[in-house]
Amino acid sequence: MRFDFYPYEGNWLPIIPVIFACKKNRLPPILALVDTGATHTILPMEIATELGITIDHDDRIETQVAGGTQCFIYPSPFMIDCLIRDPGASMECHWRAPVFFSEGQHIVLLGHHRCLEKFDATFYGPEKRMELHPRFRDR
Amino acid sequence: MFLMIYSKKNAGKWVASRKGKVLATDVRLAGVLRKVKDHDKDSLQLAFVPKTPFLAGFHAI
Repeated sequence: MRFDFYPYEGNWLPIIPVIFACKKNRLPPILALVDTGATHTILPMEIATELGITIDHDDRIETQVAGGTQCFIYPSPFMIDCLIRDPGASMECHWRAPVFFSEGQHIVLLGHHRCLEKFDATFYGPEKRMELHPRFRDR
Repeated sequence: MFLMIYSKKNAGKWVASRKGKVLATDVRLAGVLRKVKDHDKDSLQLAFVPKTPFLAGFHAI
């Protein structure tokens, strides 16, 4: 599955569209940063609301972003369906993952746990594109 | 074709686009979804444009 980088303020970033769903609620594709430095997949809290997920605000985890700044993230009480499609082909893959929601993080970050670790990810920097090859059976 | 959704003009907003064309923006996700509710959902693309450059990477829990 091949994805072109997106331009962002003079840089080109590995950003891919991902469809998130929970039970019967499904959102349009949302651009997500393929963050190889992230342990977990983090979604903005607004997405929880749109997916009909009620977050327990007492069930929060203190974490750090790169550089050491601390923030709180909240585990989803449900597994989230994730789906990506190759924009140039008919190939798509779907998996379920535990994700976290964050109040202060507005960008969707795709991290390793139960997400990027399921793929071979290759970055072709000079060509400004990346390839993701799923290493799991679609489910 | 690259869509310049990550522009200063859209900083701090959710952007809904389709085939390279910005359809709607709003500071809230619910707001932009409401503005494009009549469009085919799968043909849309949503993105939040940050006000500051990306510095991502959650590395410890």
